[in-house]
Amino acid sequence: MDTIIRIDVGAAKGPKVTKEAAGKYAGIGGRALTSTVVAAEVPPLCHALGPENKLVIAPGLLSGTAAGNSGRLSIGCKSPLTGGIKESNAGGQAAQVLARLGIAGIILEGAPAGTPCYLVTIDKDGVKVADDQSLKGLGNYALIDVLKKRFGEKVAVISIGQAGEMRLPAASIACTDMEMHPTRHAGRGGVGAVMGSKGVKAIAINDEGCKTREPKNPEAFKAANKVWIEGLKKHPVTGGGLPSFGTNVLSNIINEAGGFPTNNFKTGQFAGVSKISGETCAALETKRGGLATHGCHRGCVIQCSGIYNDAEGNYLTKQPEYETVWAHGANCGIDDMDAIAMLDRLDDDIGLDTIEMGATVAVAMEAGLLKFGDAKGAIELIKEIGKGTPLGRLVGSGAGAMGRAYGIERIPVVKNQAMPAYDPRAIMGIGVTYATTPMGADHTAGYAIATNILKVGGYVDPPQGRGPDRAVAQPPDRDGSHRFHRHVPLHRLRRPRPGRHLPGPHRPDQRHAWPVPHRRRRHRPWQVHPQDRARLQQGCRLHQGRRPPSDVDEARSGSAAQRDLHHRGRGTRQSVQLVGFLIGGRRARS
Amino acid sequence: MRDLEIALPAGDPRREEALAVLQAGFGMEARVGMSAREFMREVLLFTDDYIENVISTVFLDDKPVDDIDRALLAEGSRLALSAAMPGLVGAIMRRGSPYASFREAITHRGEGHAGADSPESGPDKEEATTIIVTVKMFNSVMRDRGPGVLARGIVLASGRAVELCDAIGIDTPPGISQGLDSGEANLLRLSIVVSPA
Ligand code: SF4
Repeated sequence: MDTIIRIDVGAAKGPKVTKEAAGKYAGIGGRALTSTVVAAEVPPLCHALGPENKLVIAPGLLSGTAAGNSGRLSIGCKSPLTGGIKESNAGGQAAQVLARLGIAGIILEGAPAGTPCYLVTIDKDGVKVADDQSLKGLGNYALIDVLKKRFGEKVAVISIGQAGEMRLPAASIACTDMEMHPTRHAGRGGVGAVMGSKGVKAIAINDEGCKTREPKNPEAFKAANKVWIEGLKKHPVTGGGLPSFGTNVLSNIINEAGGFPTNNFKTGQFAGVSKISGETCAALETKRGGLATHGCHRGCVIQCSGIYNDAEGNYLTKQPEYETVWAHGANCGIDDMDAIAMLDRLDDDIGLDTIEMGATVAVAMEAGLLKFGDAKGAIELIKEIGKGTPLGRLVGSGAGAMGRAYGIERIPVVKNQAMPAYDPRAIMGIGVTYATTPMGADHTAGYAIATNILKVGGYVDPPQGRGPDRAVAQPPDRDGSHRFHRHVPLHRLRRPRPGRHLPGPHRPDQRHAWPVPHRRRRHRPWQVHPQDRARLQQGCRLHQGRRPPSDVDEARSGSAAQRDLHHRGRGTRQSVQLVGFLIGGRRARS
Repeated sequence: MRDLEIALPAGDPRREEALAVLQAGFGMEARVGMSAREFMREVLLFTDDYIENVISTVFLDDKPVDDIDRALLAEGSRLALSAAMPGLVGAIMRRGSPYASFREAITHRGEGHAGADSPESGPDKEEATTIIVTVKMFNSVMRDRGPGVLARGIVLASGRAVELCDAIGIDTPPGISQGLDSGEANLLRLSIVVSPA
C-alpha cells in the first residue's frame, strides 16, 4: 500500500491521472493521511468548492490485511459546511478493496471545465476516468444498479447522489456494503459536495486478481490479530450490545440520562423512545426476516449493523444507526420506526448526512414548516432535496442555513455543523468535544479523554478544577452557534430564579436548571459579554484574512482560532494548549 | 392487587414482543429504603456475579449511579438497568467510570429518600414498608433476565396490560377488562409464563 493516485480533473486535456509513491506520506493511513494531505496541500482560505480544495480518500493502515475490523475509509477536505478542515469516515467494502490494490490514497484535485459526470474505474491494470452523462442525476441506489450491470457484484463503489451533484453542504459520500447497497456514508461536513465540485459521480474499484496484504512478520501479526479478535468478541460492548442491538442500543440509556435531544433540543427525554430503541428495532428486523446482526464489510468481527425490511418483508435499508434514529426520530418527535427507516433510505439514496438532515428537519419544524412528529411531512421534505427544488436545496444546506432562512434562534450547531445525539447540557464533557474540535460539533473528534485520562499531549486533571465539568455550555449565540466563550467555576454557578425564562432545558422537570454564572456585572449570562464580543469579532476579522493572525490573536479568538490553527496544520501541542485555554479558563496575555 | 397469568407455548415468538414492555418500564414491589443492589439481589433475583459483571450501567431517577449500595429506593423511584454501552458516552455512563467527571452534573449522589418514607414515620408500619418502584430493563439485561422477571410477575396499570395484550396479539384476559370496565385505576400483577419445551 504505497501508491497515491492523483486525479487532476482540471487538467487542460481532461482529467490527468498520476500515480506516485506515498513519499512523505508513507507510514500513515486513514484520517492521519487525509488530514495531513489537506493540511499540507489545501490553502486554508480557499473556497471549499473551488479548484484549490482537494478531496482525499484513504483506507486505514491495516485495511486489506486479515486484521479484524480493518475496513474503515477516511475522506478529508476543506468543508463547505464548516469552512474548516474536515475528516469524515465510512465502513463498507471500499477500504479493503483499495488497500488490496496497493493504494494508500486517492486525491481528487483541480476543477473541471463544464459540467462533467466522471466515472472513475480502478483495477489492477490501472485507473480510467470517463465522462458518463447517463449517470447524471441518479440516486445512489439507481446508480449502483447501473454499475452492477456493468461491472458485476464484486466491485466496491464510492459515489454521490443528487445532493453531492448539487454541491449541497450536507451532501455525503456513499460506500457500498457487502450486498452492494450504498448504505455506508462519510456523512459529515459536506464531503459529497466537494466530490461533486470535482465532477466525479462514482469511483468503481475492482480488486480481482489481488491478494490479501501480507504482513512482514506473519507469526507476530497472526498472534496479535488473535488477541485483538478475542478481545472484541469477549468485551460486553463489542461482543454483546453492539452485535445484538446495533449502535441504537444507546437510545434508551442516553434518554435515561436526559441527554437524548428531543424536538429540536427542547428536552432531553423522548416519550416514544421504547418504540424506536435498538431493542425494538432488532426484534422487528428479526420478525420481518431481516437481520439484527450483520457486518458492513468482510472481516468485521463486531457486526453492529443489520438489514431492515419493510412490513412486506422486502429490503428497505440497513439497520438505522443510533445517530439516524435519534436525528430523524426523537429530535423530530417521530416515534415510527418504519418512517425513520424510510428517511434513512432516502438520505442514503440522495446522499445526505443523516445527523444534519434530522437536525435540519427539526429546525424546519421549529420554524412551523411542519409539526413535530409529522413523519409524512419529514419524508416529503427530504424528497424535495432529491428533486432539487428551492426548498430542497435549502434543506440540503443544513440546519444552520435553515435556521437563518427562517429566523430561528435555537439552531443546534457548532461551526455551522449540527450537533450529534448527545446533549452537552446533560453530558457536559461531550460539550467540550463539540466546542474544541476544529470540525464543528463532532462526537468522534476532539477526544477530551486524551488529556483527561490517557495523558496524551499533556494532562488536565478533571478533579483539580480544570476538567470538562467546569467548561459550561452556554446557550447559543444569536447566529445559532454554541460558544464556550467563558470559563465559569462550578462554585460560582447558581440556579436561576424560578419564573425566569431560560432557553434550552435538558429535561422537562428541570425547566429552570440552566447553570448561570453568579456575578455582579449587569449582563445576561447567555449573551456574549461586550468585552468578549470584541475579542470574538477581532478573531472573526482575522479569519477573514485582513492580516495573518498571531498566536495571541488565536488564543483570544476562541473557536475561530481553533479552526484556523488546525486548518493551517499546526501540531497537537498548540491544539492542546488551546484546549487547555478553553477548558481551563486561562486567558492569554496580550 | 389482582393476579393474572398469561401462558404462552414454548418457542412462541410473542415472548420476544412481550419482553418489550420491560424497556418501557414496569412496576415491582420493593421494601422502602432498600438499596439498588439489594433490590436486584432480593427482588429481581440477580446473582452477585451478574450484578457485578453485567449490570454496569444503572440509573436511579434518571441519574447515572456509581455506588449501587448508596442508591436507595423510595416510593415512585425509577430504576433502569443496562449492560455496558458503546462509545464515549456509553463509557461515561458506566458505574464507577473513570470518565464519570464528564457527567458530574447529573450523577446520582447516593441521596435516598428513605428518611422521609421510613416505616416509623408512617401510620401503618406494615403498609409503609412496601413500595412500588418503576423498573426498566434494557438490552442484554432485558433479553437474559426478562423472561424470569415476566414469569414471576410485574405490576402494570390495567390500561397498559391491555396495550401489552394487543401488542403481542392475544385476547385480553377477562380479569383485565373487568378492571377497565369499572373505571378503576387498577394495578395488576401480571405474569407471562412460557411453558417448558
Ligand atoms: S458493521 Fe459496524 S462494527 Fe462492523 S465494520 Fe461496519 S460499522 Fe464497523
